[in-house]
Amino acid sequence: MKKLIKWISLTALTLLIQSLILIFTGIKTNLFFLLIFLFIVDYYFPKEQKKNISPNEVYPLIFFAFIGFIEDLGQEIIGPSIISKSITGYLLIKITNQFFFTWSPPFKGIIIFIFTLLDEFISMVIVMSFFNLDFEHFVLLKEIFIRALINVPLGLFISWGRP
Amino acid sequence: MIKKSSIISLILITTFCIFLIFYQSKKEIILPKFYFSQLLKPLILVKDSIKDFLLLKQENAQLKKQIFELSLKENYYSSLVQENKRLKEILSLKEQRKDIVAIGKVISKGSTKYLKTIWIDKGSAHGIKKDYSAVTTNGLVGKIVSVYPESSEILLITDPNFSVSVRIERSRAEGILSGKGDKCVIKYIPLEEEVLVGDRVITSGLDGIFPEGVIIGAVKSSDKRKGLFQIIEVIPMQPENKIEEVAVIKRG
Repeated sequence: MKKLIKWISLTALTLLIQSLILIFTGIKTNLFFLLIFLFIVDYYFPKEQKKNISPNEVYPLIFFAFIGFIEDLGQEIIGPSIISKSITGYLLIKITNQFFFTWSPPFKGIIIFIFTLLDEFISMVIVMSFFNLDFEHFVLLKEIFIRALINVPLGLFISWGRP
Repeated sequence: MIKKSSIISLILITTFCIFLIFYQSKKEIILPKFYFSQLLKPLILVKDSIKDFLLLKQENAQLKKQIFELSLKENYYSSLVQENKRLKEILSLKEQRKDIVAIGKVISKGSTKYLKTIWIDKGSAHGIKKDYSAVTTNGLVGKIVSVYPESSEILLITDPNFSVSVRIERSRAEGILSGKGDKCVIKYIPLEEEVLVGDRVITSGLDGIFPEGVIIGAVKSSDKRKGLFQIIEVIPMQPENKIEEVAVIKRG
């Protein structure tokens, strides 16, 4: 129960920070992905995995879907972020389960960057496929790229010293 | 190792969402949009207030600068208007008096510490000669004491070295006016002559230098206690610190 409250509080805090950044700077960020990353750092990094204390994968998936749902609530379309967050979260769990990776800061940075891009890309493809929305592709890609770049130092910060 | 349960969960979530998105795209399900920013409205207000404050500060600085520039311009235009007025007056004086040689602009105060003089930008090249009188629309200013091709020096009537033959306009009593620093005094008017405060003093033309009838000033006071003559204090009509243009007229 404590853990549930902790993660719901963190979700609310992430939403608040993301909204504040948007209000004060006009920059759209993808901090929810960092929340997923933090969750995985907490429960799935090799040290914890070795201790065999990681939870099963269904509850995390539901949590990722919940994060995606919260994100989608602000978009008027429910679904794209649920799918993207679930898929990227799941793949991230699978990556962390591989013992042959050395989780050095550069590697973590690359993973954060690639998975943020993947998350954004899945969501973008779904919206573009189902809805007749006009996008300026270059601008959209640039924004996605910037969001991924922003996540790298923040992700390294929240996972500093781990594993 | 891939767990079956997690794969099934992922597929279920994805499929459900795909259906949800499909029906949303067909407008069969319309979900309300949650404006999280509405929850943060007070913060937005704070942000807007800060932004407004900074903008106002910037605007205020710009407006202050504009006010300063405008006041400078206004001063400049007002000085132009004043100059125009003075020049018009001088021109009308020139039309009235046919003996005006030139109209000069005051370019500096006197160069020596012993004499009270001013310099004008007209000289012998413009027909000015020594001992010519300098007047304004208000009255006599002084006389030319030195002439150069492009400039002349005028000895002011308040200088102690200046003297002119004058007449009290009302009583026609004659005397000699000379400077006394910041005022003038008339000497050699007998005690029995009636001189009243405020009487206008004009040149008599008897000295052969100044033309007759040029206003000099007004009587401030008359002292009959000493000697055979009255000592009459005169306030010049033309304050010496407000001379900007003068007309130079020929010898009387």
